[in-house]
Amino acid sequence: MTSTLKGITLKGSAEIVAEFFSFGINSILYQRGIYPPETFSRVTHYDMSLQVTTDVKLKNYLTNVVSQLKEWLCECTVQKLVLVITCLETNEVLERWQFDIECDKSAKESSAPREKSLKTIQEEIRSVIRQITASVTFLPLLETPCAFDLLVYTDKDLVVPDKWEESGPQIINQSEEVRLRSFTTSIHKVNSMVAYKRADSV
Amino acid sequence: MTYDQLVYLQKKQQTSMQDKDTVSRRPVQSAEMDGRKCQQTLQQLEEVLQQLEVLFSLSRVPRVLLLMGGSIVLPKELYEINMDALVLAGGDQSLRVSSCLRQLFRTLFVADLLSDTRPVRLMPTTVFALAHRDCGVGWFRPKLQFKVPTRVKNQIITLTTDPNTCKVPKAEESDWQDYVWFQAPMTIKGFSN
Repeated sequence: MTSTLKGITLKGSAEIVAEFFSFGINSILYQRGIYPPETFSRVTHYDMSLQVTTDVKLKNYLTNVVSQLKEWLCECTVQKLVLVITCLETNEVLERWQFDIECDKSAKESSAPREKSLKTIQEEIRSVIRQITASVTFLPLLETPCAFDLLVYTDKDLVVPDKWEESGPQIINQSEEVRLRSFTTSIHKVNSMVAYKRADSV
Repeated sequence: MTYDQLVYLQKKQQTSMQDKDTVSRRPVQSAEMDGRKCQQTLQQLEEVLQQLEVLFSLSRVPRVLLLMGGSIVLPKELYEINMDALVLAGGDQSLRVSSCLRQLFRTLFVADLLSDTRPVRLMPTTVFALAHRDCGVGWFRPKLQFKVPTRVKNQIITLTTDPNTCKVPKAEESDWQDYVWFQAPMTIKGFSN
């Protein structure tokens, strides 16, 4: 990770954010039961216990996505990452985790590192991941087998890489939305939220 | 992990230990110690929650306190669940538990009461509940001299009934005159991993 004692570089910031997405996506897939809990193993990161997948296919898929994301983060061409959870049988979108990314385009590889400690950034990330865990207390139970999709919103003129394809937004009909905390590396800022299908009323 | 996930994991670990055919004598591994501490915490939690439910059946409980760390005179953190503005209605007007819980937790989540950037510290938790002095509860111990600590910030979670939806009058201040504080006879120690 490229972060000096004095601050964060553009490349370092991209690595921090990409790493957050890797752990964040794993956490969501675990917490929402998209994959069986026994296919996850516990690791320590951000000074907390996290669940990461041991499923080889899923691991490879996420590695490829995160690697591409890192590139786009360095180029400041990515605007949003969205994790969509759909009912396997009906394809209905049940949940939508959206991560909005703001990038300070004045930051270049040659720029001086920004003064923000890794420790502070990791504390902010820890809060977001704790909120992902805490969200299971109010998100509706996903009672049917579900699948997930990852959508990335990029700048309009970006060339779509191989193995990626264009997609619609996969919005939820009649949704409720809850904002999570944000974190910032001082170069990239990530705002998180979750939208879910409105459940039965009280 | 959430409470439900911990309970699930513990049950799974207990089942896999019972399924082992061989018995071996060896020094206790640290992972096993962690597992036992987790099991102990879950057992303590379960007992306190069960006894709270018994208390709720014996008396109105307008306030529950969670004192964490420090002492009962000066805890490190203090949380109160205040229910004195909740109206008890008949069975046919009962709210659905699952919906209520989801709304409650969503409100807590959005209020961001418990999310903290500091690493969570391991602290024992003591539970206090305000109940009628003559309710006949056996497990909780009356603490007539107990006063709610004032030198630490009290994070209050208040549950109320919408007055437009319920014609039953709310309890008045004077209704709580015969209510005293009861303390759970054990602290929930917790564990770290």
